[in-house]
Amino acid sequence: MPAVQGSIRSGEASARGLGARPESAQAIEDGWLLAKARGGEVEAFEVLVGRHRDRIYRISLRMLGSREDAEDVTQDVVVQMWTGLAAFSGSSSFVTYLHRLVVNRCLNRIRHARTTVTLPDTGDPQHPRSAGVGERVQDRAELASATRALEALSPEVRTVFVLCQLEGMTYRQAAAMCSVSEDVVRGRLARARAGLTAAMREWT
Amino acid sequence: MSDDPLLAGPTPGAGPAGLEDAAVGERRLPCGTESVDLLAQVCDGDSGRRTAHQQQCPYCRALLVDYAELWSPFADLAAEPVRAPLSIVDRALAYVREVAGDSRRPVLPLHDSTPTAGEVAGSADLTARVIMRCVRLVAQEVDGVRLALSHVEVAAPTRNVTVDVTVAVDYGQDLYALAARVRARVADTVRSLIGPGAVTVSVHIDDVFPARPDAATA
Repeated sequence: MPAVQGSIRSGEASARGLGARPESAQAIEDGWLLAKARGGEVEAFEVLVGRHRDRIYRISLRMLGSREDAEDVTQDVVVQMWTGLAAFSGSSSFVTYLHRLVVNRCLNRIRHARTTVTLPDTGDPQHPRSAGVGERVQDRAELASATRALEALSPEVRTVFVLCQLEGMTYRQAAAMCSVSEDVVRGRLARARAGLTAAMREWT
Repeated sequence: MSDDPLLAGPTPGAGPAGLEDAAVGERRLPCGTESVDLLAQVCDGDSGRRTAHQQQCPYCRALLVDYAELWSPFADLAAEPVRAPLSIVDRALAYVREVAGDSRRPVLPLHDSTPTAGEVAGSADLTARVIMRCVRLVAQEVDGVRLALSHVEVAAPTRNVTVDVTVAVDYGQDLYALAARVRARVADTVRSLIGPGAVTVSVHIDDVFPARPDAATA
């Protein structure tokens, strides 16, 4: 059997205190991949995208309500991430930067491209349910109603709802992302909740 | 008074008046509870955690049940798994590779195209990208390795493969032993992919991460 040749080299550990900072494991790993990607390693970029692609698509889908639009935005964001790597200062976490990128793309699309509301395709084969046909139809109808109600919110209020309610962000994180105060985020979330509940009451 | 600019008047570029503007709906129940507080409780997923008052109060109980029913589609929406279509992401990444000048990878023939008795004529090959991905995945399976990247050079005529593996590892490891394990696993994997040939594996330990919080308790 041929011998395995090779070498072992050790790089320098980064300056962060090992075990001293409560930075999340994901943020640390993202930071490493990001540094490699900024150094031109496409594979690192691919891994980074692979870790966040569902998040990008999910936020786009909830913001836009249309699978086609969400796919377009997802592609745009991936390309923009690559071309904008140098511009990312690293002052915020990569996830925060990514959220901002996705939300801004969606808001641009809503403001400039959309004049009609696209009804959601509720027959998604990716999400089979085990319930009976009647329950499935009802579930889909309810999800479709929820998606329609979401689309009826103003873009800014919808953004806060998607970030806080669906993505689980804190008020502070959403406030930083939307460049508004935490009180404004709290207010918009309350209005979103009230509006959505009112819409569901109307439709049921 | 709210400092939300949306409430101060029309915002340039903003969409039409939102659904939420028409939804006042706030009211005080006869027991003194604000309905908006009960709605927040439901939306936060706490409708089952009722206070002593809520357990006794018929107004609060009824409204909590009502809100929970109205809110369930949004709870379902939040819980629904959403996966990005891989083809969409792959197309974008293919574009990125092209822009980065990384779109072409050397191809390694897997066997001769001349068939022996009983074999179907044809050929099979794999690109260095396949080896790279397999190397990355197998390196990340080595205990103590958090992330791995790889670079693969293939000399097609000699079937010699040179692999550079860059890894970030957990703090507290014997780095030499770890690197040896990575080299062995990677070499085995490459051989399983391309058959016998000289395999050179270089491991570059690029960073050390703090141990994951869950690692200590696992």
